[in-house]
Amino acid sequence: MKYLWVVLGVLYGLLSIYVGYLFIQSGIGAKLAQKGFLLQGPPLLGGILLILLSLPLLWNCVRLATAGTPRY
Amino acid sequence: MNRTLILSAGVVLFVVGAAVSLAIWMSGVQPWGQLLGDNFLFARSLPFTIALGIAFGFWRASGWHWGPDRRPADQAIRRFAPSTIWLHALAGVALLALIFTGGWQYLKGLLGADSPLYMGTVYRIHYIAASLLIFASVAFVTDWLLRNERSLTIGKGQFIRTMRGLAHELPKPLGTIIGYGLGLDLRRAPPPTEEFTYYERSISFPLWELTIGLIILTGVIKAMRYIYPIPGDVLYWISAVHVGSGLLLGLKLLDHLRFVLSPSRWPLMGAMATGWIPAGYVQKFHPGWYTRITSAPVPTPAPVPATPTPSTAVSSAGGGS
Repeated sequence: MKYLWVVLGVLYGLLSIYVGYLFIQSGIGAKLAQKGFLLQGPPLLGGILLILLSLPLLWNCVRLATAGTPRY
Repeated sequence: MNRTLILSAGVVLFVVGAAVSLAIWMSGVQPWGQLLGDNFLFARSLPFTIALGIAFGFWRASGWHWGPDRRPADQAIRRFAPSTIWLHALAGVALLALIFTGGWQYLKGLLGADSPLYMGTVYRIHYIAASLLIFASVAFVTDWLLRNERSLTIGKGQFIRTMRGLAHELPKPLGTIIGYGLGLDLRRAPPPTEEFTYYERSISFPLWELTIGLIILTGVIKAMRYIYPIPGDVLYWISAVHVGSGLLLGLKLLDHLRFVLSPSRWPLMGAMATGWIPAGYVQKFHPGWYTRITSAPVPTPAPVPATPTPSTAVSSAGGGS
């Protein structure tokens, strides 16, 4: 079960990074550049945050996969 | 008996309301396509979904008998009631479906790309998932209000204590900033962690409340726009807030998964699936809660069973939420 969650976590993290990349691309793209900063800002900022917040999740998934399971 | 009657009334009302809306939709009286028809069906079912959530929350709260009891086999402590596990799973699945379908709609517009999926189907899944999330959220809120359940909140008069606990839980640079900003004495020992960590109570759960509250409120207003006319400017900002809170939900889910998929918190994931958490884990990481459970008076034991390990059941606010 632990490894299933690791795979799900990694998939969600990687997908978030890809969506973040798409957000950033659209934020700096020609289409939104004509519409002003108010419409450019959210995808740009959201994309950066998506990528930044995915990194700790991916790191924890790696740690969870490699760490032993302590007994309590 | 009363609680079952009220829940039954909620179910019957929901079924009748949905059936009437469906009958109108299928009769062909209105020239609606799938997209508009689904929108009307969703908007008309909302009062019944909310009523069903209230009835279920009342049913749950009025029949509440879960305390932090111990499992005789291994002395594990009950952390969540079975209905909490099911409602949490339902809300989780609904949230994932909402993030995926909502993100799909937003990206389609943002990239100006053709969708390989029929958008009517994407919206239909979005509406079904929204109904499930609204039901689960209303049921939880009703239940917590009726039982005065506050284990996931900071609590009255506990702000400074909570901030001190939070400052100790966070990575040192962040904790120092909080401690310096609020004038906390971080040389003092941290307050013992209760059923939920100080991070969950002061940051994680309030952020869930904010994002889910915003997404539901703005989503409901958007869904009602064909029933009650809403000025275009207002709808523009409502849509902007809806998209923004959808993005926040995606970020919050990343943070939530980051929190629970940490190796030291893995037993919490098990507790969310089974309801039970090892006593040793509670003693080590939730000492405040452990002390409360172990020091609570044990009720009069039932007739002595054959095995010498009776289950201790104690009544405690917040237990098994």
